[in-house]
Amino acid sequence: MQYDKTPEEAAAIGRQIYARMQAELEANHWGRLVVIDINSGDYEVGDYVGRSSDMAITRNLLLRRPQAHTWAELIGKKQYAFTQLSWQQTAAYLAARSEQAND
Amino acid sequence: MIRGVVRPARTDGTGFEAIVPVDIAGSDWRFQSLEAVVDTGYTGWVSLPAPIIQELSLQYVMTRSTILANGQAVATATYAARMLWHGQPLDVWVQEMNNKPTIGTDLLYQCHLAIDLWDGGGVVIAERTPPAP
Repeated sequence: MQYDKTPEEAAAIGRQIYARMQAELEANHWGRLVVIDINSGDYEVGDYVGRSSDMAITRNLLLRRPQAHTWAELIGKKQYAFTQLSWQQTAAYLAARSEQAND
Repeated sequence: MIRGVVRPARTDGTGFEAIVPVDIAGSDWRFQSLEAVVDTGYTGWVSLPAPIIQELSLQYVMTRSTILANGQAVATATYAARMLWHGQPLDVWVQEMNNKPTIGTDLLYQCHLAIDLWDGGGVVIAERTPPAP
């Protein structure tokens, strides 16, 4: 695919960058969404009212960084989930994973 | 109004799925028609397998945490795309999933979905305005 990092690698970098800024972000932006460009470390913070917020904040960052590859965290919250997959998608995901593991 | 059809989900004829046509494009606006499974258990817009994402040259914009149906959180690659939805262009996020093209509840937002659940049955997705609260 177009990416030079697997989703897991990208997520790990995103989490590392977030961890470095976490204290400052939590002090100033608790409960808001931060979208981080994992290549440049540039980021954009905005109010979170659902997935459309993620879309809007990410687009703002893309205006500044057209080649951005982003990761997002809900500031101060344990986990930010973008979507939930169905059982059919989950079964396909797990099957692909076990295929990769057997390769 | 978008019209589709119910077909067996597997080659052995067991299980059924609701299939609708969708038009989807990358930033070049070259729309390609695909058949997508309507899946109300998926909360996103669209998921597509890697070969179709490559064919459409979708822009890779993000990795996001996604919850599997077993509760596990995983990272997924997500792309920017445009769709023709009810005749109007709509910007959507496409998640890469090694599965049939699938549309979820974000795309069905403010729509009425009707399925005649038998082989060859009709599928209708119609735009609706929610009643005032």
